[in-house]
Amino acid sequence: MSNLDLSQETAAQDSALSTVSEPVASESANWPSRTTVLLVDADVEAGKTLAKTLREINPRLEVVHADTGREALDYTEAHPVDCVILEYALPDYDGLCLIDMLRSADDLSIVPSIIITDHGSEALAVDAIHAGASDYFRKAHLAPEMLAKSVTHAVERNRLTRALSMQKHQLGQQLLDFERRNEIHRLQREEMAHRLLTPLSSVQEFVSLVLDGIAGPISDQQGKYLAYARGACQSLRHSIEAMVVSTQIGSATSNYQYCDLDRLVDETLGDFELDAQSKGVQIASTIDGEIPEVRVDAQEFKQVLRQLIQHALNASNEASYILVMLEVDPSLAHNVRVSVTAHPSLSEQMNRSYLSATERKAGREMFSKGNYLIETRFDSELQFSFSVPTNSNPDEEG
Amino acid sequence: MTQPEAEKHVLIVEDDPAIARALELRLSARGYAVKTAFDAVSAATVARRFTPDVALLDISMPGGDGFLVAERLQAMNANMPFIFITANSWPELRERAEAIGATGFFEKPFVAEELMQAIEAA
Repeated sequence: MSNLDLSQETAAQDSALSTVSEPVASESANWPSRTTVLLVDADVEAGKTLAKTLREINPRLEVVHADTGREALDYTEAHPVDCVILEYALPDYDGLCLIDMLRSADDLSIVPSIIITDHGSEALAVDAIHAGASDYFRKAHLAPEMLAKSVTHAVERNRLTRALSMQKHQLGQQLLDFERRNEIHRLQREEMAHRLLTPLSSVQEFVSLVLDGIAGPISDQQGKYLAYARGACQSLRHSIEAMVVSTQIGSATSNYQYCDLDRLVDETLGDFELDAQSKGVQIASTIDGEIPEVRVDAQEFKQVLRQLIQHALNASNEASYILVMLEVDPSLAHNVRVSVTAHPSLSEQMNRSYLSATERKAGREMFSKGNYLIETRFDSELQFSFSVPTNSNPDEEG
Repeated sequence: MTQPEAEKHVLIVEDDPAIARALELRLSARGYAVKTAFDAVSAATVARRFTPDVALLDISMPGGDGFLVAERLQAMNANMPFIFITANSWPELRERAEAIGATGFFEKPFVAEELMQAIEAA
């Protein structure tokens, strides 16, 4: 390689250069501790002069010279280079073609390039920028301070771009890892649900077989007890489903859709038909006013409603009546209020005892389930209520 | 209770012996002829000998899932109706079941009478 390490050659002349203007403080302050600039120019004398000037601006600059495009390519393949100053008219390569070929040491990006030329034009300047050059100078009008500034900017911009690319790559990897873990958790949840619900199905099915007389006649008392058992199976199923849902990691996909709440309530009440019958409790639903469609996660809504109805059922006896009501919320605009009321219910103390320890610890008659805040009222009747906004889109909220 | 046709053949493919037995008892009480396979591998063999009129398929089983069994049964008889039962309630399972032509999809624990009606109608 015929290039000269001009920084070494000019170092000996430093004492002679002491009368030359001091390095521009603002530029040198921006240089990283060691910056390698590859100067590619067939004109060796011009290259020497330029290198010397750049070192005067910043003594920490290492300038390496190459006469040809081939030498430049060989050098960058073997050595890290922070910036290339490239004459457009080289003996072996078109300087613009070379821009894309001069790669960083890790091959993840091109080395930032600055085109300098004796033979410039506006068209060439435009072509140079389109080809990926950071900047373009006519040699005849070249101010070294401007070139030094341009090198600084090119190096810094490249550093930031590479840092951003690496971060994007890392984020991409993390997202893949998250999705893989999410899939594993999903499979684990499926397995858990299968292991719990399958034996439960057997219990419920054999209870039903006996209740339906397939194992022979049974007494009224036996039928009553078995009906309780079947109701308990239903409750257990709901609890298992709630547990499986609650272990879900937040999914990237939203399940919010416009739903008819009345339909969701009816579907949920259907799950309690047997259980309520076995306890002798009536459950019904009603609507007060015109209820608009709302955006909810239907599965979550039904899950929460199911749990509240189960609470109400636990707090009820044969004289009780459970009412699920939908109404436009009188206290909050743009909300639908959902309430579950058991009347008459057991004493307040008994009612409270049916809430979980976590819910009691809340200290107020409020607790959260899923994305809903549940208000509770204890007096002669037990009531749970929560609001569903009618015109907010959780996907769009910050 | 409506009596089904005499000797309607129902194939149960279910790996849990308790659920399989409960279904056998209920279906037999209704007058169906019932055979059970306990995994996806033996299901095809049993079906070839038994020639079911309708199949009741668990989805999660060792050796292959209910969808695989459905494909094999359809290869034997493209018009054979099949009903899925599953402990998992993921919406995509139901969609997949509909896409391959299942005549019913029941989550465990199922309501026995509803399942019986689906088998009767198949």
